[in-house]
Amino acid sequence: MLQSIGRALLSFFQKAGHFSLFALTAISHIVRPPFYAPTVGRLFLDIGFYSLPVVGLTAAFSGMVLALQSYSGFSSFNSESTIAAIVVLSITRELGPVMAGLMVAGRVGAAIAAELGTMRVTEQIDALQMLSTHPMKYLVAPRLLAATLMMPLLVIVADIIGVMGGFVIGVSQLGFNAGSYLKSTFETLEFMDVFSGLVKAATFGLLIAICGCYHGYYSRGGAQGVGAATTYAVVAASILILVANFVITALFFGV
Amino acid sequence: MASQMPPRLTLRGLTKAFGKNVVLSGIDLDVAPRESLVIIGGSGTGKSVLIKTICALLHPDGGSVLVDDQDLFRLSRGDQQDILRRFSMLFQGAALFDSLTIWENVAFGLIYGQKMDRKAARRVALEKLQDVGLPERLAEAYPAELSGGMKKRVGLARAIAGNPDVIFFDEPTTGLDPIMSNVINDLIVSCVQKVGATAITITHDMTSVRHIASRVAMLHQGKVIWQDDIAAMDTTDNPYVQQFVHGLTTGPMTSEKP
Ligand SMILES: Nc1ncnc2c1ncn2[C@@H]1O[C@H](COP(=O)(O)OP(=O)(O)O)[C@@H](O)[C@H]1O
Ligand SMILES: [Mg+2]
Repeated sequence: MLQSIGRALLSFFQKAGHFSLFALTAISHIVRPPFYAPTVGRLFLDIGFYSLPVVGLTAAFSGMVLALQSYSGFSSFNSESTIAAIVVLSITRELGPVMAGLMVAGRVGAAIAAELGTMRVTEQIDALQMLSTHPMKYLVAPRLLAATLMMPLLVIVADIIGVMGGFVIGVSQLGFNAGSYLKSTFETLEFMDVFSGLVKAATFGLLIAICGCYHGYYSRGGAQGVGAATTYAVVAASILILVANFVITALFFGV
Repeated sequence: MASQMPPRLTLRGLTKAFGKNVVLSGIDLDVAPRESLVIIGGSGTGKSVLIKTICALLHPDGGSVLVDDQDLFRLSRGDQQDILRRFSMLFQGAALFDSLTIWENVAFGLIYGQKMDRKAARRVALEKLQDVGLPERLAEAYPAELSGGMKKRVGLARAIAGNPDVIFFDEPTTGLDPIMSNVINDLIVSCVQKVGATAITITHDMTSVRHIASRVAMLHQGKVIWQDDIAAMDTTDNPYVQQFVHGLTTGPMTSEKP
């Protein structure tokens, strides 16, 4: 019993070490030449632009539901200023980055794992190496860079749409005055709220890309292996996002 | 004939295992410059693992790979890269990059590995496509639009594009019809001669062996159990080779198969 716990623990630390080493190597390749500009451009589009619909949609509904819930749930605080504050703080600090992170993990993390996994099992990664091209540099580093830079942009959009969602519900359903709702929103908002959200976004983007690349890069055994790699990538990224979210929140707003 | 020239590749006691699965258990093999060695052996005997280890795509557990008397796995990273730059491989499924066009695939090593300018690399790529008998109009197509035999030709063009010294072929005719197989066999022979390379081919297609090989080595249970000039293959009394060459269902290998 103890032995098997020990073995499991050992294997966990081994995997964690392997994962961290992969992450560090990949990050070091971002800053060392040569750089592959054309691939990075395509990735910005794939990861950033094409994630806008899902991220925007989730943000809009999050903002809307926040306004509704806080109105019906906290009937003693249901003034414009409280609802506006709850919506804007929840969105910028937590829901914007976390929802966007989970959505992008599902969309982009899975796609990265599937693409690299397929390249692995069809020997394309071996072929890269035989053509004197470092797969870490050509495949992994650009994806890390693109996801880390695109996530904050996506979250800015998510923040705006999320707050708008709350605003629309507030004005149309709860009978708030549009001007004073917006005024309360901007009075509540502080730089740190948005900034902490963007730090989260960049961190989540990095985690999503690392999980996708790692599981894809080491996938084995044909189509089934690629499927498993995709699942692991999304699950691992989602868990790491929630853990990192807690850690960053504690760092920014903790006691 | 191999003994007169200093070998291009020398393998000594090469071992490789994946966990408990011992795949190579002490490979000794010499390959002379410009010879064409064919490695035969049953499925799953570790032929692919062997050539991937020689190319440093896999790291051996023990033993050495000497390339022109330099120990590949004891060199600095830079020196190792310089040697590996002279190697190329045609992979079993061609392993073309499916996000790139045909000419970009062929020119990939020139553009990214050798830092050749894109225009010049494209010219070389078109030339190589012609060498393997593909029309120029396919240059802008994507790998998904090609048949298996065409993909193999593109893979071959990519493998010879950088004028390598050593080319590895992993089951070049597997999955092709007999006519296309012979086309590929002919192309391999002519392309290898044209670039003056040493060729190491894995196959279990005996037509291919007779077409390509100047020397044959047989792999079995992690060891080279037989090697000789191609002419000796039909006269040897080695029961493993006899069974393999004639595809007999009875022989020493039947009972050992898992
Ligand atoms: N990357 C790997 N990880 C674990 N096992 C592997 C790996 N590559 C090959 N093997 C195992 O090595 C053995 C030999 O495989 P391979 O060299 O592909 O055989 P073949 O002679 O048909 O080319 C097989 O049992 C295979 O499962
Ligand atoms: Mg094989």
